[in-house]
Amino acid sequence: MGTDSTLNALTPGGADTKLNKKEIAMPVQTRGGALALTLLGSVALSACASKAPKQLPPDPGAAVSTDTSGGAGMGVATPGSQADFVATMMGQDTILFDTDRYNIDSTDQTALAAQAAWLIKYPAKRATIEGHADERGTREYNLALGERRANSARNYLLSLGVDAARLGTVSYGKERPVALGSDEDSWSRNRRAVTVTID
Amino acid sequence: MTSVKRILTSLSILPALLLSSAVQAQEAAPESAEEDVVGTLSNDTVVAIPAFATNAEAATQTSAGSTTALGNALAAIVADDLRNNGFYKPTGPAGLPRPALAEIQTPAYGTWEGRSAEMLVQGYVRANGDGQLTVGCYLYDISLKQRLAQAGWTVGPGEWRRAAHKCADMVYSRLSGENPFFDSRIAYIAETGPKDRRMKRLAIMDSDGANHTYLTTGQTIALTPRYSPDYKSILYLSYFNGAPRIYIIDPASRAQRLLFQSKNPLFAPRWSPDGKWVLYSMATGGNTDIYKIPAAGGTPTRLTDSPGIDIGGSFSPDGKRIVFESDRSGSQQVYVMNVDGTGQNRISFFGGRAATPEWSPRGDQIAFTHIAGNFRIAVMSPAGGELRHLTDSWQDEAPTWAPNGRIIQFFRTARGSGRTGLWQVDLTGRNERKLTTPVDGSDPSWGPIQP
Amino acid sequence: MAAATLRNEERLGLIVALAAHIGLIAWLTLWRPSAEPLELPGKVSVTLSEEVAPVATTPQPSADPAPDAAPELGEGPPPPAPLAQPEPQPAPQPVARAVPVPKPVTRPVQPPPRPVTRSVQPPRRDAIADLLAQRTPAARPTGRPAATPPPRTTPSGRPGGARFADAFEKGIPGATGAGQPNAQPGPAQVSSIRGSINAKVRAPWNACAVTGLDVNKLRASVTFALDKQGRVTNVNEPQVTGITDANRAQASRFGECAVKAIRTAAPYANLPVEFYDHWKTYKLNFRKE
Repeated sequence: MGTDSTLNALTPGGADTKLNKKEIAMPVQTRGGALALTLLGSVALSACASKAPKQLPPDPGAAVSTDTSGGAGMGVATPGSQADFVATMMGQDTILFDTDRYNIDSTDQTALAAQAAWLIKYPAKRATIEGHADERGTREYNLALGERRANSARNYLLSLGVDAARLGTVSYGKERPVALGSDEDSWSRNRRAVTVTID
Repeated sequence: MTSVKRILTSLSILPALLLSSAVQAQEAAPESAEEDVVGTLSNDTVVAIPAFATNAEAATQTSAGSTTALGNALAAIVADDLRNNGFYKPTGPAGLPRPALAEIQTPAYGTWEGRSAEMLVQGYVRANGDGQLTVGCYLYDISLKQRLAQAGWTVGPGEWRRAAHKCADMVYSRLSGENPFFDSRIAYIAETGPKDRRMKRLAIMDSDGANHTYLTTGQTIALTPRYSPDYKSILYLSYFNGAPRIYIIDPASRAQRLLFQSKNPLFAPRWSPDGKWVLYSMATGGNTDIYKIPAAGGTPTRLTDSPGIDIGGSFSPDGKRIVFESDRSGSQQVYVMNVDGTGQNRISFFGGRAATPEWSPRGDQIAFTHIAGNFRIAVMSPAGGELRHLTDSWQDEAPTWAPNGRIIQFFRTARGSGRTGLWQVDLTGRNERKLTTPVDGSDPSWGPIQP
Repeated sequence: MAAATLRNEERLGLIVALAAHIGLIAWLTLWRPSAEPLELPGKVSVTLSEEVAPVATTPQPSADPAPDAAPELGEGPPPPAPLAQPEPQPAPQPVARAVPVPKPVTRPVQPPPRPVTRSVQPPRRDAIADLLAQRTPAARPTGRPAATPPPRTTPSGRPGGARFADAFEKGIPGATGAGQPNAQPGPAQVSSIRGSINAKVRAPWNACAVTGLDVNKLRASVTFALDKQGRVTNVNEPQVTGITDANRAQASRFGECAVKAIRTAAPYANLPVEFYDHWKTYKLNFRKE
């Protein structure tokens, strides 16, 4: 039956523009974490060596901290650095939580007390407390839950005398797990708040 | 004992009573001839979709090539749309005779009968002198030999696929009674990398996965995007500078601006149906609440203040109410309130937890994630009843509605590897299928029908 | 554990209770009711039927059957009497048709007294008795009002008594009141008409797919008119019921599919023309399950 019905005009789409690189490099926390891991690894390896290598490997710590004196040897972190913090805490920089909980239990209290002691010892250092959740939750709620956990830890540190202006929080929800399995053991290790000092 | 005798004697005449009453009942029966026809529900509509005809072979500026190749490509997109939807069994364009231009508006039914196809879709494409294309689309019922629908569009060369989606929408709407949805776009997060250090990039694509574009580089984490109703902006969460904040990005120019300046973290951005308002959730001192702010910027209004995590939010299509998620009762549940924050009521009482509620564009359902052991996509009425589960996998979450309120898209996480993918399911629970994306995908957001 | 010694009151109470219990048990055991046992009425066998037609659907027996006269013995065979043709009789129909052809009303194979006694009985009983007589032969899908065998063609030429039965079969002149077949189809014919229409409509009804929530709640009623050749002359607007919020979008298409099924299945060529009044207007109730 004859002619077409009414035509709708569609406007042509715009041309693609080149993507501008606007974002900066990786956040601070990842750099400090990678460094800590390298140093810890080298400490562990040095203990395992059975004979001295022919050539000493270059000092892995030289590139990072300007305070480090060259030839100070491997594995000795500068006092007051994040590396030192991690080494001193020996795992107590991380506190763990039960499912959906954000309360500070007695184990957490001990760990936070150790953190507070270090922070009080180095009053110029600031720190960020990262809150995390396990993968067994929805994404946005886990962001809020991680924030709750970080805030819990922060409040406790404040109660131990750390100055509020020195402590910040950030939540990563379920985005940055440390344990990669899908079982209760992995999940329990991911429900955490990690204190990271800022160099 | 006489009463017992009386009962028993009356019992003995009962059969006679039944017989006469049966006769009397028959005398009241309808006189006209009548019967019941019972069919089956699970049939698919067979649709023949031959290649679109053209008036003249001409080169086009489209990615498909000349008008003849374009006619093939248009028919193929219509067939793919209908096939992926489920409920349709399209045939062609390959293997079908190619109708001439004259047949498009007066089909040669003899060619199509006896092929087991119920419906016939024919179309044409014409290259106008100015680079634009005109596409016509016609739907015919083969057994009744009548035209059911027709429409046409003029499109620029960069948008030729939209004409095919419009044609598929016309066929789909006419045969299903539903509103259209194929001519729409999806924003989501493309994921690559190891589980403890996933790279997450904001990406957009057509509803069938074509025209895929990355909008961020992945150097900072991007999460939970939301397409604006006019497709001109996307709200999303970015960890730029290590601080999670909400940004608005223009997909055409890639320009970004901060939604709201705050020293607190902001999550879970949402658009109102008219695009004038934005909901966001802000955490202060560990307590998260929902706020509303004009999309163009301005003063936020606080909507919730319970001592728990109140997060998310989805407007009803009439813009009068908001459904959101709160754990004020001790676990995540779904609540409804007025747009000014008053009248907050819990509606999910199913056992387990209920999260990520999304109001259907049709207004008749609320989709959400039901957590009871597994994470399952489910729907309920806005009053909180008529719970129906649509999926049953280890972890499905974050439903988003197709523009016509008939199909739900969500993302599925694999146990162990944690790898994600975008999936869709029909409201009837049928046709659960995985979308093809270049890499893994999560956090889908389905935009409305394009005008 | 040492039990406390019973006090006197307790002991007395226990004895009284025990005695009362024993007395009660004894009374119940030994007491016989004096009333006579109940009489149950005798058994009545009844057949309950749903297929009772409000009107008689069998060909009516003639009021005055032929006189019971046998042909005289010894004479040659009487000329074969013409079959009393009932009106209206369709043009010669093949026996294979599923539609029953009304039989000649004089039924010589039946014992003569029966038609007489039958006509004096009240009409309601007549229908029931017909039904009861019909029920066994009506079990066949091609139901016939009475399972009379078709008229046998007999060899001619045999004189005498051996031709007694033949003469009765063919009919004897003298019968009056030629019977009329009923214009109303019996239950058997109705079910065969239904089966014929249903079989044709169901396939296009299935092919027209309607999908969505609560589609199984929709019902479409369509009334349509047929001409004598079974062609559709008119289809009324479908009445769609069972609409809920969830299936509202599908209601229109549901009704459209019902109308399409009726039109696609046409023409309905196998319907019995003699019952055209019954099926010239037909109503179908559609659903999908």
